[in-house]
Amino acid sequence: MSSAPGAPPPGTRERLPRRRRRDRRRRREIVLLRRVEVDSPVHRLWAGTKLLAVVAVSVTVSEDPTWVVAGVLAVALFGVARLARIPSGALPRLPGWVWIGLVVLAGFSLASGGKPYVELAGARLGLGGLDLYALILVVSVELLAAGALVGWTTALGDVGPAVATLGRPLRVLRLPVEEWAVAVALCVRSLPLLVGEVRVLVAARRLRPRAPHRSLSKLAEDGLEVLATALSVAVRRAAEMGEAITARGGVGGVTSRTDGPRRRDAVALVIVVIVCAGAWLLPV
Amino acid sequence: MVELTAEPGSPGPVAGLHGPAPAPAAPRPAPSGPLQPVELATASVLAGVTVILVLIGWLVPHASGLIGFAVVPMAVVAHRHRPRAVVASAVAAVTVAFLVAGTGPAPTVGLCAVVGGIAGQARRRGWRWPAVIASALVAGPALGALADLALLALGPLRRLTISNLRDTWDGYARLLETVRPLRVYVRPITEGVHEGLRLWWALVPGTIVLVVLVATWATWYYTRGLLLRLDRMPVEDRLAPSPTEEGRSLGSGDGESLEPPQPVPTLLEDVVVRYPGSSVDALGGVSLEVPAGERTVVLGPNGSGKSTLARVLAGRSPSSGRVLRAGPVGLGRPGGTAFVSQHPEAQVLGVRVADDLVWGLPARWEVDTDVLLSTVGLAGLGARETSTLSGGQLQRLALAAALARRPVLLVADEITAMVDSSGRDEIVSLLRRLPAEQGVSVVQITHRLEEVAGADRLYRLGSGRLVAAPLPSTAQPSTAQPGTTQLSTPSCGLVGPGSLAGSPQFGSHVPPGAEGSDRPVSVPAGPGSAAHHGDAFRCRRPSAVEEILVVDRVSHTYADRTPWAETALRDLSLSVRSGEGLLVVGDNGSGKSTLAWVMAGLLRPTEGECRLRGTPVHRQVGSVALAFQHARLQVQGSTVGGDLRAAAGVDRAAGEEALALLGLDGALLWDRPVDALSGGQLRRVALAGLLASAPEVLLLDEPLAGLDEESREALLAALADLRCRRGLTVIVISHDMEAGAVCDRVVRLDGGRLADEDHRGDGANGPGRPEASSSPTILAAPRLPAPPGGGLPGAAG
Repeated sequence: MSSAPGAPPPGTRERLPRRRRRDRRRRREIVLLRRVEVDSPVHRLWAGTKLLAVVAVSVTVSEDPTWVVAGVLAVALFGVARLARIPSGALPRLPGWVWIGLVVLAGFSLASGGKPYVELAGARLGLGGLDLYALILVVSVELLAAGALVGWTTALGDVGPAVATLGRPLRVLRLPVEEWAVAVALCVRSLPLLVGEVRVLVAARRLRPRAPHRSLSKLAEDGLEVLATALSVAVRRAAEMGEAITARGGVGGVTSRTDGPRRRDAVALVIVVIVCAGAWLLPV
Repeated sequence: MVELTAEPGSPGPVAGLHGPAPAPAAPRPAPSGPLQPVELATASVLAGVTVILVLIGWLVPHASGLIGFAVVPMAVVAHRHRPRAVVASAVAAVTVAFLVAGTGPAPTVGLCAVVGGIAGQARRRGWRWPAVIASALVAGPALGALADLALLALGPLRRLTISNLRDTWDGYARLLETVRPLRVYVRPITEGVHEGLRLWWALVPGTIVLVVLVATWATWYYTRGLLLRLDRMPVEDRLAPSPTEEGRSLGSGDGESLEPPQPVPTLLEDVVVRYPGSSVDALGGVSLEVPAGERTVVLGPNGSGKSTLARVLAGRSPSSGRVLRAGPVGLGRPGGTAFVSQHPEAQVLGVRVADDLVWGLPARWEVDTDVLLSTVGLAGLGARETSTLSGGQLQRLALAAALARRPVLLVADEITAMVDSSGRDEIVSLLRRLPAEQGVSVVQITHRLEEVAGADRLYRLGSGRLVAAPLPSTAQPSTAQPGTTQLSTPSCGLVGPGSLAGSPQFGSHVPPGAEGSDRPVSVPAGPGSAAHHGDAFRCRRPSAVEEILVVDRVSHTYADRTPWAETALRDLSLSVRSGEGLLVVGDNGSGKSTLAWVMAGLLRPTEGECRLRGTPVHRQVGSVALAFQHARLQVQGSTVGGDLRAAAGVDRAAGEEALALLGLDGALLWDRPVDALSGGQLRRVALAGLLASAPEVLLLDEPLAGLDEESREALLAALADLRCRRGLTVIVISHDMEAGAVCDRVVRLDGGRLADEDHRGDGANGPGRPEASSSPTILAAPRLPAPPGGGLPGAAG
């Protein structure tokens, strides 16, 4: 999947030293909200188009959750991922307990039986429950994948302005959409800083000696204490940020300099609509 | 006044000067209309906290309790600000949660916003419990109805999910029923589950109503103390102009209808500023002049009121006194006043570099991004995300964003405080060039004497007043090197770092006991206390031979095996002897913080390991204490005493003793709220918490950054004392050599490796001092400010 030239990091898997394989079981960092820095037609689309596409996919699978639709969308999403040159390393790696849980639930579904029935080693198995379970699972994964594809191909800086443009109709209701778009943009901006602060907070906590007995109320109390620290830092950061906004003369043109939808966005949306509607209308 | 009108470029007669009346003493009325900057920032930042808490709760199963805490940030927004801010915060949180993790957590975030919003409002308006319950009983059913509508709209998927849930339970029940005694109990439960799934339209809203009710009440009840504590924090927008100054409301973008800004020349007459809730004047009667087209330097130590002065120049109204300007100050407006502050992270608002440059600018204003970025030395970084920039790069970006407005006046408030020395030189030289090259009047506010060189005008500030008549202009051409001016000479008398840089032993192991005592210490002659401290900080104790901490071929890659992999450390080996003082220097991004985390056992490196007395550190977290740069995050109690108790599990006597070790008065500080501490006190309280649990090694990440001279001196003295008398092993991690005085060995990190190993045997280096010539950090060291107590001429009095 990641064979495209120039896709970073080139040949990560090949160059893995043998020694590292031993550490495979080590916990992995979860990377969220990061764009895969390659150039592709999907990357070049306007952020609003991609958000609309996610909505279209969600509506389609919600209104017609069948294997046909799921299949068509799986192919389409895979195609988009290929087109966007997303390396397989970008996929989040789930911890083991998730897999175990999924298998256990599958077992329960299998035990519930239902049509169709198959004969396996003399036992009569009803696959209906399992079939339903698998469909739900696939649909959920597709919804997640559609969202993830937006994250992997979109610079977060483009999201705030796109929200403002998409929300423009709401201005008829006199809702402060621009203000919200600025809040989204500032929230996105502060998120990495806050994550860093939370890391330090947790690390500082780990450095402290553990209390001998930890009742639930003590835990909650501890939690509130850490939270108070985090909030105190966040409030201070907000004050600094407010001052920085004042220093820029207010929020003026934060959403003014965006490249809105272009012709390729129209093309992309038409394709999305055709795929979704086609999947919907396909005979089962 | 005569001077003012005589200035070239001044638009008109004296009558054209604006002299805003002193700000009214009454508190500002509650804002209405669009959100004010602080409201917007609080809404956004706390929305971020909510998102993080909910996401961690979703992703980490044993931390799902965090979701319960996610209501609190929203309560804080509602407690501090209008409902309009809460709505903006909720929208931001839901949108960002959706973007980060899809449709799963987004409704949870929305629920948190409603619950927190009600609880915070209730506290803000002083509601009693019946009102809280009543409002929860309004919001709960409303949300429930919304959920029903959504589920109705999602008909087919809902039916599918419900039958899947039923199947799963049936399968589980069938397995349970194979155990005969359980059969009796399983049947009714199964019926109940079926009935519940059939009644989803009642069950889902009912659950929501119950959750909202309980959560709102609990939030309202339990966060009282926390909200009050946060409310006591003196947080205000110290830049906000008074309503009379400029009627430009936020977000309207119609600044064009106003008079064109004309911030210089500015004349301050007996300006006094006192912040609300404070009993002392931040500025106590300052009169000065900022002429057009000149570089004015305001020199003063921390706490001298220079930041307040900067804000008055940028448009804040004084409590009393007069500020005379040629026209409106036009803060942030094109052609007006630009303001850059000392916190690189806080003032960069754009997600990408190019976004940040135009943040807040009117749409029609043309900005040549490439030229601006290359002016400040960031050429080609326009598409980079700002969160990946180093502190120095961020500060340059802030400067570029200021210059994008083509300002007439640039107020630079300590903008080099958080930047490493090479970045500092570049920024200062840029400020020097601005008046001549772009006709910008520059007001540069600093505590570093060496930045004064070449100034057209110098004011010295101390305790909120001008301490002396302006020194005669140094009259140096703007290309003058800092070291050549008469003013900066004394700052070359840097004791520890200077001597280390000159020593051929730099970067290599110092044989224990051999170097500690007879190291040549280049102490400047004179009565300055620097010499005294230089001796005091240097430990004469021979280090033990025993290696206590060993970093064994450590490499670390963040986000390993993903497209975002980033290698911070590469095959790094290092050993530290017991009782040793080690300074690890490196520029921003050299991997030094990662190394600190690895040495403290907080981060397991992808390869190699770090051992303390032969056992991997990550199995004994806490044995190596790490003092973080951001000390506020490490002091997690509400009072100093409470924090020390929690940090080390010690009683008051032991806690006060730990504080005394660091030169703090334990009896005085014990009950003091943490948010009332100064930066220097905070850092020492954090250290006391670490020391009280008797670590074997003490690691400090940038211990001196952002501290004033007095706090630096106190901290260095305390560290020296701990090392020499208590034999504590001290490792300091820093971007400069200022903490070198308490260390007897220096290693330099560069690109995740030890630089001295890289450069050894490199023929390109000149003979004699190979390390120094390959190391800009070291070369720049003598130009750093004098160590604590280093005398400034005329400043002592």
